[in-house]
Amino acid sequence: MFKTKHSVNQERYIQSLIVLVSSFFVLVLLFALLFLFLFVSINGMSHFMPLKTYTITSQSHSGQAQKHIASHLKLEQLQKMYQSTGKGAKEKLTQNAADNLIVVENTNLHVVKMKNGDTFVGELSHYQAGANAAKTRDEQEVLEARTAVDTLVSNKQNILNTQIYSLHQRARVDQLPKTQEQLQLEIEYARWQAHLKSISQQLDNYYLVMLNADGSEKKIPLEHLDLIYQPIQFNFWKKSLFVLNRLLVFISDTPTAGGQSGGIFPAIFGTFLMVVFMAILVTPFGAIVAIYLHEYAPKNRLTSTIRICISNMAAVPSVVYGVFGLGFFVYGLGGSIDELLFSDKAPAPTFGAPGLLWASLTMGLLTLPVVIVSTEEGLQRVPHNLRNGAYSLGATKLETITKIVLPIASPGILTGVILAIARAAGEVAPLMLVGAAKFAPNLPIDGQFPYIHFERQFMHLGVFIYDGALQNRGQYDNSSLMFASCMFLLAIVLILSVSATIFRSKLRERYQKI
Amino acid sequence: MKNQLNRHKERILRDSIFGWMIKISGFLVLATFTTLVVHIIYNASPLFYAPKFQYSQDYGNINASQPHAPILVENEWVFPRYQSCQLSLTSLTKNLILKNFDLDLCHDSIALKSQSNSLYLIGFKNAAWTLYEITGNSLSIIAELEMPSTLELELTKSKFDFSISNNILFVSLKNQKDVFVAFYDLEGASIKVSKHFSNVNSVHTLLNNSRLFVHTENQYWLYDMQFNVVQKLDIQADNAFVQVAPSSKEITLVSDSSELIKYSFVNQDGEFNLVQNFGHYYDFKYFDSKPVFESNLSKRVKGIFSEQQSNALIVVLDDSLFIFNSISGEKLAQYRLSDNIEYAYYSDEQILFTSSDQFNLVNITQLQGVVTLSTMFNKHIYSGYDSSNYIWQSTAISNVQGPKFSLTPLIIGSIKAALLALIVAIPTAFGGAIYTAYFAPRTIRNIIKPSIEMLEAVPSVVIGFVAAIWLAPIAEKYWLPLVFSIFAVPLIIMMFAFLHAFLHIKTMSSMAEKMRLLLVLVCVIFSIAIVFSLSSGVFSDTNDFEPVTGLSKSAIIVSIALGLAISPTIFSLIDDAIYQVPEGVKQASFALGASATQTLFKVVLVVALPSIISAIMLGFGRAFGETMIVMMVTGNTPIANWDVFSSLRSLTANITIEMPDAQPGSALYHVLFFSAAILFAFTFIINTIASLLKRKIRDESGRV
Repeated sequence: MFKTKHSVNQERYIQSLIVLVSSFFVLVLLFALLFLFLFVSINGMSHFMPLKTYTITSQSHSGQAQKHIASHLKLEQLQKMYQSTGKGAKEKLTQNAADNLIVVENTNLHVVKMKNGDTFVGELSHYQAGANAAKTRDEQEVLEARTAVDTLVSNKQNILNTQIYSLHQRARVDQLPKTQEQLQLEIEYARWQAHLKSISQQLDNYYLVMLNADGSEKKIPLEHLDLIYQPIQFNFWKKSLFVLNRLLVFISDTPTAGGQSGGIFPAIFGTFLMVVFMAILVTPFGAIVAIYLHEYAPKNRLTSTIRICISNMAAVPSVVYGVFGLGFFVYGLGGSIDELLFSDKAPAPTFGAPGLLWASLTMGLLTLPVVIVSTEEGLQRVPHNLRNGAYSLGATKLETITKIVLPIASPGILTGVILAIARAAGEVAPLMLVGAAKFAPNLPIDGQFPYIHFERQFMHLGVFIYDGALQNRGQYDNSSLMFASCMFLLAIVLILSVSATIFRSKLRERYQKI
Repeated sequence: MKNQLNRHKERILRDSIFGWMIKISGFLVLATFTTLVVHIIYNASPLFYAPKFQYSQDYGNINASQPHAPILVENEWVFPRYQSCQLSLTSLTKNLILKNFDLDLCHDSIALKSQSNSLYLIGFKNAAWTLYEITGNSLSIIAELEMPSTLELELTKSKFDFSISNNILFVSLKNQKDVFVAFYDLEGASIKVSKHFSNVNSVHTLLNNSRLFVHTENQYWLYDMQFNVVQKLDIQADNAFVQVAPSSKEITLVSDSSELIKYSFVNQDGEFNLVQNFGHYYDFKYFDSKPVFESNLSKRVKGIFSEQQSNALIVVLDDSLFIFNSISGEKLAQYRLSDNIEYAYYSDEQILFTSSDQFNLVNITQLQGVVTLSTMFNKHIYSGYDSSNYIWQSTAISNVQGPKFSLTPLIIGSIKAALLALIVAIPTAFGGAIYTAYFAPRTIRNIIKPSIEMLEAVPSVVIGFVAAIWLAPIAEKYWLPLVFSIFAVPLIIMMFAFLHAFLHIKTMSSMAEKMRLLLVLVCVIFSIAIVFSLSSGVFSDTNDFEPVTGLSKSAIIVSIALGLAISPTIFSLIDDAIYQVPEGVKQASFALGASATQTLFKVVLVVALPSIISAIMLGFGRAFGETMIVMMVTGNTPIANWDVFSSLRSLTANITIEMPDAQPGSALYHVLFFSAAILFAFTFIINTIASLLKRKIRDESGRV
């Protein structure tokens, strides 16, 4: 009845197969994680790196150079870009399809980044600073010119945003016989318009001239210039400084040109603010509910009903919370607040529109189960002997909980809050319904009374990424800023979850010691 | 001593107050959940209320000096009156002149027509006509026209009607059986064509479609604007009541035989023909099933009005009102009046009618109730289509077509995405969990499991972003090598397994687990690289290797991205389930001489099966409720098929897309709440079954 050697071998084969296949799947998951992480960070970091510049020369068989192109894209990328527009790169670059294309890295070229996200590569010819100024390349003069331009641009923005906008609002009346006041307004409006025009004309005199690879000139107004650098000037330290500087700009600047360039400060700030308010709301509530469930609740049907509710709340799709938040908080609560307090502004909604407060409340509801479950886990790890010890010394239940149980279980609460924050930072769908905007130039905190504007819409990192993906669908080369934002979000969420894991294991250690 | 006693009392008091507060908070969570459920159901419920009629009698007396029909201006029914070169609009109820317009010219008489937020007016003076438009408080002359010279019918004796669309004015004059029609070109202010029909019952214009609908004794004809017959309609109905929808896309007829027939324009090989919408039966029986109407129903119809925004078809008979769903033909509401209606006017959910010598008003409320379960889940022939379809199209196209709220394509989309994701996720998660929970040493498991759970924490928007920006174009370009490697890589692994086992048997030395993992990794990467480069090299020469353009938005990409997103969840649950199988059970199996594989398949997996099933169900629930990945990767087109190469739109994505535009209280708003309720119910059911299964295994392992 012993197994034959043959069947033992067969058994070995099968086992080997199963082990291999199952380990293969583990590797697939690990690989996916690693790949996602690396892919996003490499692409994200490339946003901050100085670009490499190339000269691409087309050469006929006789060895005569025919045409040059300066670009920060390598030949393959150029080819890819031209492919998407329907023409081959060779046809674009040369007259003859049989010509050779030679790509040489040329660090002498200047890279110009415009404020609308466009990039231009070429040789710097000179700057023109003002109508009567001479051509210059002197650094000091250029710096002065750029400051002058910045002042002019901010003046222009100021006039556009405050004067002209408000005049336009006030002067807009349908009825035909115009009053004296309206005529006055119109004159003022025209005056500001003229002023604006003169500033624009002044700005036109500030520009820099670049040379294309074939020698033709290209004028770039300083008004639209974001950044200019030459790859040759970078040694390792300068490069690191450049990257750091770009990172700083990315974190502290507002997005421009519909999220094509600039920074993501409002998105980071909005996410942070929303998450903080959410944590303030959800932590006490979640902790108290967990204390009730673990310390107070009797083992009856009601308690198990509450538990079923919590487990279902955890499973409900997030967008359902968004729908609930919109219906209940925004239109329900917000609508009634408007009716009671802001009836003078009706029908324009104040709180009856999506905003920061409602987003925080909705996310609080969404993350409530996370906090409850994690806190309860923390409470479970507190040994019963400790409680009994406290009781035997005459402590009341309240004292036992606040002085003995909670200090030990506090990492559990912290874990829950961290997990909740990580969840809220990465969630998008419900936020799009209850307050996160694609672009909100006004921060929810500013110098105007009451300083914190709970009713304002805010920007959220996840929503920002979603919107960017919508605009750059399939255009992988143009989305380095979005990858950088992804990298930030991923880093925030992963750091939070790792720290939650660490806190959890700390809790375990603590309880093992006792 | 006393002080201490007081302190003691205070402590006890504080303890009990705090205890109560905590208990109340515990119930607050129950209250929150209940609020969530109740609010969603409450907001979904208006779909199930029938539309209601609010009857208010004595809305004003009929006055002999009111030659024009009342019209609704700024939510107030008014009478237009033309006197001494002035048009005045007098409120029906308050007898108050609301608006006054001085016409530039003095006319003998005027005709009025209210059409899409504007009021049009034609003034007659001998042979000269002047067309005015009134919007808000301003009156402007559009055109001055000449009365056609062929006009023989006298204006005073005949019924004058007109309508305007796209710079074309249509006028008709009817005197018993004689009808004169003319089209004016408003830009050139000239008459384009005119015709005199004799011996016809009625002539209707389908101006937006440049067609005329002519009803002779018992025949129905469709003319084009040059008065050529385009189509003769085969309608078996004598003396039907004919009504043309304001969109010019639909014609509704009520025949003598108690039947309501609907015709709509359908594109048939490039030609738009009127085709009957079969399949619906508009029931004029009363709800309390009193006898059916006697045969001459068409004579009793006083008006048919279609409310495009909500797909309601309102039929006014001489003694009753009916509301039908114009898509499904369901009867939704009826109202029986005590008095006889003579004329009925309709505007903006209000029916004004005359009976004996006074006006009465019926307000229709809860029109969102026109959306029924049948319109949300069944196939219907929508106007403009010649076959029945599931269509989701939330916004009404400016008075032309009503919104279409079919949830079926969305539910199919959700299920399709979730099932496809499971196809990727189940093998990955299940295979991985078998390895970590059963084969891998504890040290390796302690490293692998938390890292895979890290993948669970990755925000779905990031996964969606990478899939949309990078994976989709790649898949579109390299779909053939991808498909090829999916088949080839397992084969190579199989070969490698045999080699591995062969070496294992030969050398009789077991490899360190870490080494083995490394080896597998190297082997897999190599095989993928070889297969990929080989196949892309082979296929790039053939003409078959064309990028499939639709692929990047198809369900296949969703299955990869979504599958990857949910597999850590399933993995973690299955891993726990297998790991928690009692050690004693395994040892008993080994003691009986079973090998590791036999123990795995015949003992461990059997014990853990309910938990594994519950894990897969929870994963399905998560995939069903996932929004961002599905929304970012697919094209979000609601298509009701199971084709994996076509696009899809899920319920969740639909809510996210449509909700910001939905007006609170509109039908769309309630439909979206209803779909949220479906999502909620679905996850509730999945969750309950999963937890029941888990409880089962807990009971069973208790017995073990």
